[in-house]
Amino acid sequence: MNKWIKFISFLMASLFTVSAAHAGKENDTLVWVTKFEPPTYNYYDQTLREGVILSRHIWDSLYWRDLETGEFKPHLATKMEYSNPTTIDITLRKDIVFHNGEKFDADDVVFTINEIINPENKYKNRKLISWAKKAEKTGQYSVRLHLGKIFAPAMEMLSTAVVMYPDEYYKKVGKNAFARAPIGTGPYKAAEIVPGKHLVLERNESYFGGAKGKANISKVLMRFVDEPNTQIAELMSGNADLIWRLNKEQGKKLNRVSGVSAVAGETMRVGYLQFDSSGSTGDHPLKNIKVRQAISHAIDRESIAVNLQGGGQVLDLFCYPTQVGCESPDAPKYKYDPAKAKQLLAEAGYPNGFEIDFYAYRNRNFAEAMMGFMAEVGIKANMEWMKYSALRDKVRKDEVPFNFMTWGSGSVNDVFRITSYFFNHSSDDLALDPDVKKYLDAGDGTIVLEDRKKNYSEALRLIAERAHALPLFSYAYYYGMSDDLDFKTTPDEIVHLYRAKWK
Amino acid sequence: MLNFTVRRIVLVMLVALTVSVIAFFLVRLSGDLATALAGEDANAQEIADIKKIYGLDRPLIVQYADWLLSALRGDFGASLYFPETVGELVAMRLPTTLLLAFSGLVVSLLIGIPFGVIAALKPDSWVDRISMSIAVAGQAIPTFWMGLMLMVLFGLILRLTPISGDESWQHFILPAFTLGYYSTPPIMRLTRSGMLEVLSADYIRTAYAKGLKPLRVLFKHALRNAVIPVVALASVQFGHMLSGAIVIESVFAMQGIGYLAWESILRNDIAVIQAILLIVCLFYVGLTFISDLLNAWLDPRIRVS
Repeated sequence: MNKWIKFISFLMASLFTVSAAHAGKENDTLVWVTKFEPPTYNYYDQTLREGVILSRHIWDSLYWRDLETGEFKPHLATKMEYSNPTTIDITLRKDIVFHNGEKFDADDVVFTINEIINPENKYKNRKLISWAKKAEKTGQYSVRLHLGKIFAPAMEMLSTAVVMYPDEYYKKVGKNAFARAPIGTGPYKAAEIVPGKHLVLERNESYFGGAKGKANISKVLMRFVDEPNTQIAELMSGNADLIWRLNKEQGKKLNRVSGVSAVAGETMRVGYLQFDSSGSTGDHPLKNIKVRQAISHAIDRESIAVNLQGGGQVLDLFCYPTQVGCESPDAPKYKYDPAKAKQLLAEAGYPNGFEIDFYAYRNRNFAEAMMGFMAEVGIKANMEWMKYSALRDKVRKDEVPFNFMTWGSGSVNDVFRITSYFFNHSSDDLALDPDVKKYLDAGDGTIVLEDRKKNYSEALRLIAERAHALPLFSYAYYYGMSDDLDFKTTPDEIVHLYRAKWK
Repeated sequence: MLNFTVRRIVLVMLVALTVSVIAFFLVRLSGDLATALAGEDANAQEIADIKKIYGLDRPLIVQYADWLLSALRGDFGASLYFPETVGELVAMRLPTTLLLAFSGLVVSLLIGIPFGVIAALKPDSWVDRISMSIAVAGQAIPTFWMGLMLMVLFGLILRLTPISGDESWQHFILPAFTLGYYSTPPIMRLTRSGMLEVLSADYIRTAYAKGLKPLRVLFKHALRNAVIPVVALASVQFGHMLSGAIVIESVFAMQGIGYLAWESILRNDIAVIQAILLIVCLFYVGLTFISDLLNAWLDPRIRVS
């Protein structure tokens, strides 16, 4: 009997030992639990959001877009300026070192850009730099970047998404080994990577600060948990300090629990309804401008954003408000007005409404609410629910007359990445409006900010006036965090952990 | 027996081939691979680049033939998503799933057999009804809900077990119980019916008549015979658990092949999905094959039929 008591005591002691392993303010370790582990820690070789977030922590870009003001500030580079519309001259700081002690200079910039651009190297996120033609060393701390053709958001990309690798280390260890032990200049070092389990980031004590600033918390433990309810349980038990991408209901529940709280964080992701106004998918009522305007008046976007999403803002233009060029004071606004919607439908020849297929891939509750609003004015929308890749493919094959989708602009704070893309007669353009394209081409074809803004403003006005698409609202996620943590959300969908601090 | 074995092996290969064909084409029906791979905000040109880089612009039949020939050589190709090869990925993740499935099987046997025996000893009594209720509940409760409830009770309120992860043996307690409990009912029912049949057999009455102790009769003579079909069932249940681990691994954040399959389905990582389906299928078919051989060896009527 004594043996059994000892065994049971040992068992219980073992169990209790495990649950006592907490992190947090006491040991200055922030535990961030998120859904996915990046498939590789080689940033340019993956497209996952978590990987993008890590890029801002382990590495640095040449300039840095200030998160509050949107201003481009010197970071790894002291100066970046256009010598002509397709050439950028870059001067680098001389006092930067990588985590392994390697000195940062022009060779690193030239190597990084040319390595990623080369299609033979098969980087999955080559798109981040594929707009450039080549980088050329002009001195130990100076580089010339040749674009080949005008790329208006080049400064934006060089201030956010394009980060620098150490050339000597990378060449020595190779692509895959680099992913297992990545080296950068950023505010955190990748101290421990256990694939499938966790990643430990340790503060880079010799970080230069730059425009980003030094990290406040000495250690970050990143864990990967797929199920949101499990994430919530980890937060409530004190095993996590920060979780994200919760919905409104989960956020509300967390706010009723002591020791933790949830806040809604707006993102750059735009929800939109896209109409086949050109008729490229066939003959249907949406070719009629009055029908498109009727739908725009029929849907109470504010109500969906507030009641179902619990955050975000209703959008009047087909872009996110902070994006460069996202202004058009003369563009019409579509207020919720079912009576006007009915009137427009009658004028269009559909007094009793009509029936149409309505495609969507996420936020089924939003889509169903929109179907309800349309039903109120007589439009019967038949839901076609698909996976993102299947729907996107179908749209590009001109098989979708009416869809509800979203676009995050790849966190690029420039209308180039959203408005220009959707209305430049690409396979994702269902409007095929030559007037809109003319203005967008003019905006994309210059680096003079005022000219860009003027042309984009006209394009955005036409898009709204002709109701080619209806921007709905910006997306918002709920972040759950421990009451000890002082963390501010940003609309770029990046979790800036180096800015977090303990209360 | 040799003829029977050869026929079974051919059947196993045909099943595996069919599974690979269905998996290959079904995954492609669910959406464009390059679009999924390029990420949600990739434009048409970026997707076209990805198609070219990964050979996804070739005819489907060529892609399948290419994959099949490599798979026959034991090379499942490269993941479209992870830097590791599919073989390396599966080798990294398989031990967790095997351990989870094995632990789940142990749990289901530990619950199913004793309750089945007790129910058989007192048929139609309240003990029998409680046992059957436990069995019905096991199959009726969805595993993800059961997992979350156990997590809340033991991980959050009592703080006895870890909530998620697979770092230590303690991390396997809740997932193994969740998985095992779901598979308990068939084992319990089979044990009960087997025991009822055996307990009414002549040799058991003889054993009692010889004055043997009831427990000795029960465990040495009755259970040993009643449990034989349970062993065959357990092997099939093990296959079930390998495939059923997807939900459990997702809820408890365990990095096994079930979770890998789920991640790969989300990202249309075709090479990984195909390899996992094939491996689970081979496990399943292999276990059934062994079970068939055992049965045929034990019962000549099966060989003849």
